[in-house]
Amino acid sequence: MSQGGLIGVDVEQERAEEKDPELLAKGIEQEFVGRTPWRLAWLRLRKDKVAMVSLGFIVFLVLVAIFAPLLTALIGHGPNTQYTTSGLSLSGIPVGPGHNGFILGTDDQGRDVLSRIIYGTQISLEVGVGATGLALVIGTVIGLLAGYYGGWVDSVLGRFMDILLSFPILLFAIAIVARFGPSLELLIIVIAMFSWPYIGRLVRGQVIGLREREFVEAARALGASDLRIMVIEIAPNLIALAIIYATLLIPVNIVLEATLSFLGLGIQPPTASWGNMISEAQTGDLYTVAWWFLVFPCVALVLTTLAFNLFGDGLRDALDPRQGRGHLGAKAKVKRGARLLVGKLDEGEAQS
Amino acid sequence: MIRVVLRRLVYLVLVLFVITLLTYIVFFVGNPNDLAARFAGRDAGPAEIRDAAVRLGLNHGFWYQYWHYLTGLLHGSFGLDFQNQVPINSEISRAFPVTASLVLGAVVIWLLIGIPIGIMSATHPRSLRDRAGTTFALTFLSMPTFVLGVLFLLVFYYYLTRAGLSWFPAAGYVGLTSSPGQWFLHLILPWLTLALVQAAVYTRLIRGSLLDVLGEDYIRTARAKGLSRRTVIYKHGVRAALTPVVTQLGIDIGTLLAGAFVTERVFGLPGLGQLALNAIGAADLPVVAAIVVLAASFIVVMNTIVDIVYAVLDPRVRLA
Amino acid sequence: MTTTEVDLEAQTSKGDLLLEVQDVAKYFPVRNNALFNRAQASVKAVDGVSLSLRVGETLGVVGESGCGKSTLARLIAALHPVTSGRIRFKGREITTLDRRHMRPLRRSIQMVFQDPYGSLNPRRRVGSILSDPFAVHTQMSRAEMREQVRDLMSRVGLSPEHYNRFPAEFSGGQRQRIGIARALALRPDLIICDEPVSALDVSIQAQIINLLEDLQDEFMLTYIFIAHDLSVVRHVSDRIAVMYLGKIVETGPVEEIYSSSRHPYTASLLSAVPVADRAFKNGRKARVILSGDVPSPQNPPTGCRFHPRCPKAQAICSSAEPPLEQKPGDPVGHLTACHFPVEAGEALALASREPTDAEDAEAPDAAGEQS
Repeated sequence: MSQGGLIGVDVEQERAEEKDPELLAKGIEQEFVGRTPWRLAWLRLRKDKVAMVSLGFIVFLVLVAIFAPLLTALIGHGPNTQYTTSGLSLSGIPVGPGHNGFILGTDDQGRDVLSRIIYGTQISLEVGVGATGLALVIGTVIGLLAGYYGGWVDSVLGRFMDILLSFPILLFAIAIVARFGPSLELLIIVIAMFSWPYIGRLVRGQVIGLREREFVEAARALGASDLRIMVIEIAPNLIALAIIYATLLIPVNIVLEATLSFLGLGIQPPTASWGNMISEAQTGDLYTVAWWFLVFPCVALVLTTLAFNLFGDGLRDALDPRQGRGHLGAKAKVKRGARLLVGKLDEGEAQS
Repeated sequence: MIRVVLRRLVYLVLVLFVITLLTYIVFFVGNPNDLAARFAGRDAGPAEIRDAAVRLGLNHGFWYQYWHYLTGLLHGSFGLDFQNQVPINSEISRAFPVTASLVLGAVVIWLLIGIPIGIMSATHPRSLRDRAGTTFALTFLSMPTFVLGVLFLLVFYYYLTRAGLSWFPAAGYVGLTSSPGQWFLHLILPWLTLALVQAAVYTRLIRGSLLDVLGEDYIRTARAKGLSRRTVIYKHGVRAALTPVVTQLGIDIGTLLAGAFVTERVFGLPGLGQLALNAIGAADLPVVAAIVVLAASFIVVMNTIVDIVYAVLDPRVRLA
Repeated sequence: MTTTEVDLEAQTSKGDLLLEVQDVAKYFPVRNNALFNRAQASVKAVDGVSLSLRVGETLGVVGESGCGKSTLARLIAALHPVTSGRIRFKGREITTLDRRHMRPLRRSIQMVFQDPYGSLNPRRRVGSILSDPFAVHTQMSRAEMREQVRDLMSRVGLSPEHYNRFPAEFSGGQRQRIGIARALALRPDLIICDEPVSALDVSIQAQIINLLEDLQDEFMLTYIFIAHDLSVVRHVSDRIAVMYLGKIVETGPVEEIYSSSRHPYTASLLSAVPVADRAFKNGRKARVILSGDVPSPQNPPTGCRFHPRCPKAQAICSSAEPPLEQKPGDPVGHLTACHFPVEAGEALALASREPTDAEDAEAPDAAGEQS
């Protein structure tokens, strides 16, 4: 990547550079009231209505996840209780939304769809945030080492990331989960294992740009150790990038968890996860007459992903104004099978 | 050019080596008798398990088995599967056309949707059309494939059929050679499922990359020279903006050819993805390994093709 | 010095030899991606430079961009390893030191960078940036460091209240003051200023130069002052070295260089300096306008590297490289590398076109730095 690229380094373009001509004439440097980079980013973000609404929704999701037991107690229906009398009609058809106190209706086993969605939120956020956090740590450390040291360290680590990215990820994740038996912890580890190289490549590209900056040279002239340079000089410049891509990676990982659960390899019933709710709904035929217990988990999943995507977009615009307009492509990079693309672009830029 | 291909080949061998090894390790970690016991049949005694182990070649050490597998690969054979002792090659050649039909059809659709919308968004930034394009993209980007597939089935199969319009078959696959019409009908919903999500990705990709390109100096120069807006956008801009699209397309085709797991599962298509899912469920190691190998090969091969296409699209890129 | 560490180095007094650079070269390999055919090309950024520096002195290094002056600075600051040659600091060879042994020496050699935007980490607060030198080289407590940093800030003319600000909250001149404070923190013997004012507004350049001069008096600093602009260097330097394509072509006491430069390249640089004073302008030599661009340092011209652009070049210039030596009639210390040095009163410009009055009038007047 060329010079910096991301990162609010370029915030200085926005410095209020008005100088008082009178003071200038006297040759006095004017006191210059500026704002910190983070404050500027927040001010920009606050103007972005879509991002703020998304942020609100994300906060709401987090609260729902934290207070899930309280909420379900208020509703009065546990997530796994089968309400065979009040929740199912005499012929065994699930109760529709708003009937018998089931706000979003019941599923084919007479369970409260809303309560299950609420508990599913917990799972989705745990896996999404947990796996992303883990990926972020691994990716940042490896990317930092590869980018900072270059040479053979970069070759080895870079190749390693390439190979991981050439993996048929979903297939391998499925194989591992199938072999070791599904569990929440394994799910988080497996998802992190395959998502850290995205972060790793991005960080590496960023660090290669930062490494050549004068402030790193200044630290070296001071006699700072490599570790000190990496931790104190370079790492703070990666925070913006990390926040943006973590926000964009969370929905990817949430979808991955839901997909694995849908394929029967993630969270196991009766524990509710949006993925296995959809999977369970789809295995029978009842959903064709009682659409709600299929559609509502889908809506929850889509809204959550959408919120994270929109917020991540807004965050990128706020933290990295220079990349502002053309940013839509970068989302796609992380979103889908992304991976090599990021590296490809880096190499391409280095060549031209 | 030849050097690129050669280097990619070396890389392919390296990747295959690492991932087959990992596949084997994943399956062998823990109790090695597990596998034999699974295939020895119900209520198998120790003797039957031993027989099964011998039959499946599990009585040998890990490295021997791995070596045996590698030499088989070199001869172009994936070996026999554990469950039915059928040559895996024939299972794959049965499943591959299904996956290929699904993926290649979907590619055509997502390019036909994604690229025009992307170009439209980029050439009219911040307009109503751009907003509509962006909304389309973000909606489908946030839509997991299986959600889209399940909803399609609900609406376009069940609801339509119940309304007396049985336009689409429920699930399954009909070969192109046996009935082209049925082949097409059976694939429409799976194609759309796969393509709409991907089209969203491509819309954003081409919008971003075209916006970047259109901001470049040489585009401004071309306009200043007096070339029409159309010529500049389509002859100069789009061509350069296609580069990231080609990369992404290579990756996507490579990945999907090894199995569009979710779409195949939702629509009951007997492709490589289904084969893999069943094999994983049954701990049928050789089949899983075979598909892993195929997947990695597709990815690396597609990357090589992408590199070559690059050189055609962008003369600045030298195949060094 | 308020540090608890014992100063390992011998005390120096004004006039002692501080730095000796002997025939130093730096070649950067040009990356060649080809798998086979590894003919290694290299850029000869610095190619056989020798110079020496006494305590309290300021050496100005001048040359066009790409002449290797910044690389030379980084070699002396031990930021790059040398390809060949020796650098001695206080009599001690530093080119062969490993990282660990180099560390204590780094506090004696500091650098002020050209770009006041790039040389300060945009994500760190100024107080934290300025405590780096103490954190790396001393065992001070946080409170002590804070005290030191505040002291430092006021010494370079910054308000200590701005301790918690980010670099983006300062102007270019203030940022350069921060850069100077950082270099000054450990009371080094030698500060290498790599074009410290070229990124600043003209009105601010003078302030920064005055600050550097005041600090030199106060702390008995030795400077290497790099610039592409002769007028700035003239004001601050005791001696000047003119570089062209990785080599020193002329060096000598500052007034000597300005009044009787011997190398045609120096003469052309001098004639390009804009002059504010009309009286001086009238008596000034006609401008020498060089033709062509600086050749590539990857493949420098044979013989004298300046010969393709030199108005006085003759056959020998393209075959034999002239040594850097004292020319007849020059005082000791004035060295020139030229086969045909410029004589007093010689009209070099005859070799190229005459400037018109209009051109002269258009020449930007840089009043600030001419004193």
